[in-house]
Amino acid sequence: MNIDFKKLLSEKEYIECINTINPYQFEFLFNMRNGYSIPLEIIFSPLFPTQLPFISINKGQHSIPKIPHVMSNGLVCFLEREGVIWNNVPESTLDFVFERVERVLIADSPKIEYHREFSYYFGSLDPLEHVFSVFTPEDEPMEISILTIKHKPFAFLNNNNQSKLFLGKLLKTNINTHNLNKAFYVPLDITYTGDVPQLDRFWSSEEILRMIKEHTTSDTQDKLKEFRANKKNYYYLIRIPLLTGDYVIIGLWYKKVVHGPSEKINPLIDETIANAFDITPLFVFRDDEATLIERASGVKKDLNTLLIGCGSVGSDLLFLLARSGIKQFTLVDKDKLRIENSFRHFLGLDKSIENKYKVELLKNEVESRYPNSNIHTLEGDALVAIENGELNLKDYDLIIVAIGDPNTERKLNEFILKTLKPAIFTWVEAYGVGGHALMVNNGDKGCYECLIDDELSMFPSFAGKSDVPFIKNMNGCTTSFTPYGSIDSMETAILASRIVLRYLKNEIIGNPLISWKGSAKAFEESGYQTSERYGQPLDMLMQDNYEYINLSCKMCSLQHKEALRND
Amino acid sequence: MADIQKQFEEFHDAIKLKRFKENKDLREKRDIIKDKIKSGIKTKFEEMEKDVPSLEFIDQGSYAVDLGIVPEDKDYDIDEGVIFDLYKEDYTDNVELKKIIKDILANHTSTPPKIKNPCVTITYSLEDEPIYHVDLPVYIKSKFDNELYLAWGKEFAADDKKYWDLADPQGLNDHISNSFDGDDKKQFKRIVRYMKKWKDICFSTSGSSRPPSVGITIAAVDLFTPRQTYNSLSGTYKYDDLTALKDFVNNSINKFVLEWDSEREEYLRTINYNLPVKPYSNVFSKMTKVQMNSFYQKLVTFEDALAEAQSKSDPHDACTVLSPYLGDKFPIPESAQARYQKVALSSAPSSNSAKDWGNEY
Repeated sequence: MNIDFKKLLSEKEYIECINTINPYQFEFLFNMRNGYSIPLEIIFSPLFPTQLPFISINKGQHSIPKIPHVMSNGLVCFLEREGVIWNNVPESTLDFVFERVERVLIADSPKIEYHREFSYYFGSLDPLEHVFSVFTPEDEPMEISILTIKHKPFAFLNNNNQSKLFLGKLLKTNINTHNLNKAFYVPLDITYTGDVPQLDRFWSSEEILRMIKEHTTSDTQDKLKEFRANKKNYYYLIRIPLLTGDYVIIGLWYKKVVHGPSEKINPLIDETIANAFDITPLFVFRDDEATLIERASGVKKDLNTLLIGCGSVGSDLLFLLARSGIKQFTLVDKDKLRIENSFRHFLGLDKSIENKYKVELLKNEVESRYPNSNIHTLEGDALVAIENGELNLKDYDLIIVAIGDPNTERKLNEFILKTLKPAIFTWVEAYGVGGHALMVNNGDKGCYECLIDDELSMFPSFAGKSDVPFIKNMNGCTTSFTPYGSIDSMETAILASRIVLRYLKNEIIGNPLISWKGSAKAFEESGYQTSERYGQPLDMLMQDNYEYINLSCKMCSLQHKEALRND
Repeated sequence: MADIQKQFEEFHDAIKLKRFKENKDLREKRDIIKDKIKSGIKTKFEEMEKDVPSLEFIDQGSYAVDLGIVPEDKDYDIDEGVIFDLYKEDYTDNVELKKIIKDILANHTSTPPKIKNPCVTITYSLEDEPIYHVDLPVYIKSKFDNELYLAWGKEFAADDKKYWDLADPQGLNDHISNSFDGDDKKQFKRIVRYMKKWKDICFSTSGSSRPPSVGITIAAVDLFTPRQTYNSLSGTYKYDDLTALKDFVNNSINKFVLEWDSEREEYLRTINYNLPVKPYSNVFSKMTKVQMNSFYQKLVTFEDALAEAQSKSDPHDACTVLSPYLGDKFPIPESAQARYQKVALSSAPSSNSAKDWGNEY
């Protein structure tokens, strides 16, 4: 041992009356800045200061206060969050430790601060079980169901088939009725103002009884009485209104440990038998629709999205948007997923073996991952489908074009301008030099056509003018592919999905063009040259660009007016 | 809310003025004056060939009710009422008795006594600096009732500025002294002393722009409520002067009313707080409306500071906020920074810190 811990402690003016228990363990008085002195005990690690000491209130000399971050054995949890680097000079480490300890012991933070982090503190409970919930909370108490596995709670759900199917889809299994138990959902009517349970201090059965009684109306209590039963296990889902104005949902699992006379009871409200149960708090991971979407991005409205082009950019984009909470898509693509380009497609190689259309494979994948999504498919060419009336652009709230073929896209642009429906074009450039996304129909100026000049150059292009198409041939023409990697398509999909989400939050002004650029090394090594625009700094390229707008563009200036007239 | 009760109590010990019985010097000075007045009256009345009236003395002011604070300007203030067993009906010139007292004490101090409206003032000085003064209000009785009457007026004032004013000095003392008991009374006294200190710090030293101490004291009898908070560390209830002080300031603010001042063409906040004893007059009546308005503004600023102190979780921060209002005797504990010389501590982003239970709101 290199450090004389007693000496280290005795050099601190805020520590006195040091009593050595062993070379690593000491008792002493800690004088805090508010004038309070508290007897503490410290146990150093031989790896101090890399490892911090354990500090607890000396329970022989002081009662253990019921305050946050102090366990019932007196241990002071002074380092609450990870990710802190402390000074590794022993003297300074000790100062750091005692500053934190003092903060725990004297900080009398307003209760609302603890309510704000209710889940964090509740999550620190031990013992604690974790459960899912696909139950969508309501304002009335009600009987619900819980999926249990060997009586252990697994997932709360509504008492209906839809909820059962949804959970079944989520878990990729059939929910058997014999695995379902009754549970009860209780939304407290009155804002909870009490302490947040944490560490080894969960509410006692008396505290829960009191909490329910004090925070529910007599109506709710009457309904609770109807839920009396004679069972070994009782499961509850409790919605607690917090001081923050938010709600938290927790679960309770009552397991009978004392066998008394059989009678119908509800341990949540019946006082006499409360001690007959072991109560386990349940940390609830909510997977009901409202929560999922809120957590993702806040896309709440039922947005009907048309995605034309389900290649590598389109497939990545589809999953990014589905994860953000968009549920309704119509996918249009004419190709099957083939082995040779499956490596950069979201679906991957194994799916390509099935020799199926991309739209069909994507529908299966999305619906299996996100059971509440709703995918329509159209196998075929978008332009043909529009021409023959199979696809009506006006049916959609948002159109995304990720085909990567300028000629088709020019034509689609023309159709889209006639509808006034907002659209986003996105494409990736060869050799990973970059990618682009363009908003259209969010205002009257700027469209895909504006990007193309009289010499048929694309405004945003990072590739310099070339007579040779940027296509690599592998064994002849049929297997030709545009050489860009999976990361490049993903990067472009991210760019486009950000525009989509910004558009949905009303954060986009007009019709901006946004680009990202990657390395031009491979591109130049293949003998091509980059454009002047490629020379612009990345942060500039990623900003909303309106310079491309051609005020005399025949498409947007005319079509838009026409469309408005017809609308 | 940081626990700064210890700081408040240290502050109280520093500003509290000891009572007579603990302050021999002041007590002796008072007794000398009392003896001098007694013998002087005897001589004067014998000279005038009148019956020598019996005299009573009554301790008044902050000394009497143990609410004094150490004055900022070191000019201690003793109030000692002189009650003549005479009838006002026999004394049409109510300043006559004050003049007699002034004459008796004329050579007692280097600064001559001065007749003020409510009293005769004796000033003790040390090297030309007043070190304390004794205010002697003079009372007389009536043939027709059992009341006391204060001799109001200056020596050469017009007749209408000189009169006998109904008064109840003992009743006032009792009203204040009997308002609270035990430890609550101790907190009451602390709060009144904090307010007096605040007044010394935040108002210019003299004149009627300062709210009179008796006004603050009378208001505190009604508007102060004892406050304790649960100290979760010790598991006990402890007196909480910060909350009590803030509540009192808040209650005082609520006693002000908006009044239109037609001369200034603006609304002013004014306060009317009546003496709980005869003559039941407004204790703030000497202040102008503008001065009352400024009193109001200062209370509001003080309340904001008290609220801000309550919002601080660190005792250093809480005391720092209050220091400008309570002066340099209010202790500020060292900052966490100063005590725990943390040299280098940083929040480092790590994959662990991303661990998130998710907010289930």
